[in-house]
Amino acid sequence: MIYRKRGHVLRYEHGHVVRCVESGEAFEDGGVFRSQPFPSPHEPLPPLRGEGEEVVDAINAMVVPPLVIERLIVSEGYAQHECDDIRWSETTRRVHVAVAHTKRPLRVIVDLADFELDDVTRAVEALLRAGEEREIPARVRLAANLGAAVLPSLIGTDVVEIWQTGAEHDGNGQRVLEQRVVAHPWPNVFRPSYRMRPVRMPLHLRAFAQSNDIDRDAPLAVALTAPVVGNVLHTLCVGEGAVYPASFAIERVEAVAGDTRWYPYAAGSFGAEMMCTRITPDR
Amino acid sequence: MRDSPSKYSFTIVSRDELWAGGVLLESRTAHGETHCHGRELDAVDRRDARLFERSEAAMEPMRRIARELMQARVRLVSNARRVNDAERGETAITIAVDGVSIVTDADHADADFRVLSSSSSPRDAGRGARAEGHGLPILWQNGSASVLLHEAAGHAAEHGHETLMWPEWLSIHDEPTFAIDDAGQMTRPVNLKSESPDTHRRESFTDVTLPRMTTLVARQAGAPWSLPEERMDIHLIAGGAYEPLSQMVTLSIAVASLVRGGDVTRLAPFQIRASRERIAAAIRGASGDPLRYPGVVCSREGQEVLVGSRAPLMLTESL
Repeated sequence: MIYRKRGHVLRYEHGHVVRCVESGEAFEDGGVFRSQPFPSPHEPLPPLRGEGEEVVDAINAMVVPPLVIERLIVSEGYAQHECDDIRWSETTRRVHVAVAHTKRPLRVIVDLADFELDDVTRAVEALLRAGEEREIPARVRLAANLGAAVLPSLIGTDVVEIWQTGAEHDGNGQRVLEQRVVAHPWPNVFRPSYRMRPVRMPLHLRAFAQSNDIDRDAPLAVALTAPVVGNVLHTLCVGEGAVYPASFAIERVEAVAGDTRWYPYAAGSFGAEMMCTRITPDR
Repeated sequence: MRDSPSKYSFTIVSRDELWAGGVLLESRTAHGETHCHGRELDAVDRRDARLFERSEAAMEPMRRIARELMQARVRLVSNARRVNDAERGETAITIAVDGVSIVTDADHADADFRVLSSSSSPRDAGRGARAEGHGLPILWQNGSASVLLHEAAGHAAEHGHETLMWPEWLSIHDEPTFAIDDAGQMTRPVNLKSESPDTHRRESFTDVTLPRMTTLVARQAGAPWSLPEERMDIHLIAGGAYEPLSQMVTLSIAVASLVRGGDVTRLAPFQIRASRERIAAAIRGASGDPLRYPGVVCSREGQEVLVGSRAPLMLTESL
């Protein structure tokens, strides 16, 4: 099997604009995984829409002292894939932003797969208003971006039922099967780059619960303050008229709202607002 | 810190191989060039034949080493790069045995591997818990103090954090071993106690350059030195991190021992977590010339670069 990828990307990073054109191939050669650039055909690639600069400007405008942007990467890309006789293409958009508070050790991290910035706006506003750390009540809501972030590390647990969402192509061009994610072996493969050996893992995760009844009075965790580890989240929460940092471990997802949005966590994760119970710490 | 020149070109060829049990598992080639105009970079994966040959030539001696290390997992990296007309190469061999790794080169691989293999697996050794050494001073053996200083002084300097009161007898410099950096500027040594690194580096042709350390060299001149009979000795470090918001340093200690007079007990792997202010205040003494620590692959903002690391034997209070 020979996998080939050709594409271009426009990336904004640290005040620089990077325009990159690449094509490469990957294959197994007697048990050895090999990847290398591959001479690109001369046909022109479809132009990119070039909206990343506006996103950078918008985020720069919303981050005001005492907040600072620690890291901001905005990219827009187009890629053509070919795996043996199967061909497909995709466009991608990514935003990664980390905003820090200069007067206290607190940051928010947001990752997006589109240029809708409402998650960033909400995270930045929460960071500006953040008070002292608190223990949250026993029930907490996770905003869609947090729900998406935590799903990959909940695979194989009884915290929530997780499904792989069907799609046209996996990393080998095969159909992504719609099925409940329970245990190995995973039917599909993920290729984050042609330089990486394809990995069997669930793609396009989504949470399922019997209920979609979200308690609007429960505090809402709106932003991550650190990457998710297992079922533990470090967050900024909004509730009871206050914004506060809170860390907690999820015990169970009780309800999942209907609206979903795709986020670039692991091999893709659909975020939806989730009603959760947290593990109560031993006293 | 200076701005990069407004216009320059950067070209690179990289080879990267993963070996295990003396057998090649993965082989990667990457190449390309970037034309930089101020803050705009145009990158394309064009191949430079001369750099390709140079990069590939450096792989052969490393492959001979990888074939012989039957009990290790070995990653070989070779790249050749050119900025305008200035050309240079970088190589690294990462050798991992039972979860403990070192970063070395073809000249030092044998000696460094002996250190690694003489430190038996942390999975089946190290019954002593770190708590047994609680409160004891720490002897940073084998140049390992350079990793502590890489995090506490080097990364803090990269973030422009305020100057601390380091011991006067201790110098901590970044000393580039190449003349032109990846942004086409002359390199220079930098005092990391008071300045940010001035060398701009990038991992690949698609990356923007960042000010990064190149070779951290710590030296002592007239340092106090008295070796306590009861102490913790640190030999190998699995990894480190610096959190710029809290200015906290975390080190994962892979190989360490508890020394009580003539008795030496291997400790199980543990973590050290301390503020950089505490680390600076805890340094008590040092002895001898800088020792080469077998390697730091430093990852920042998704870009991995090799950072040389040298420090004398150093003594700190308990951390």
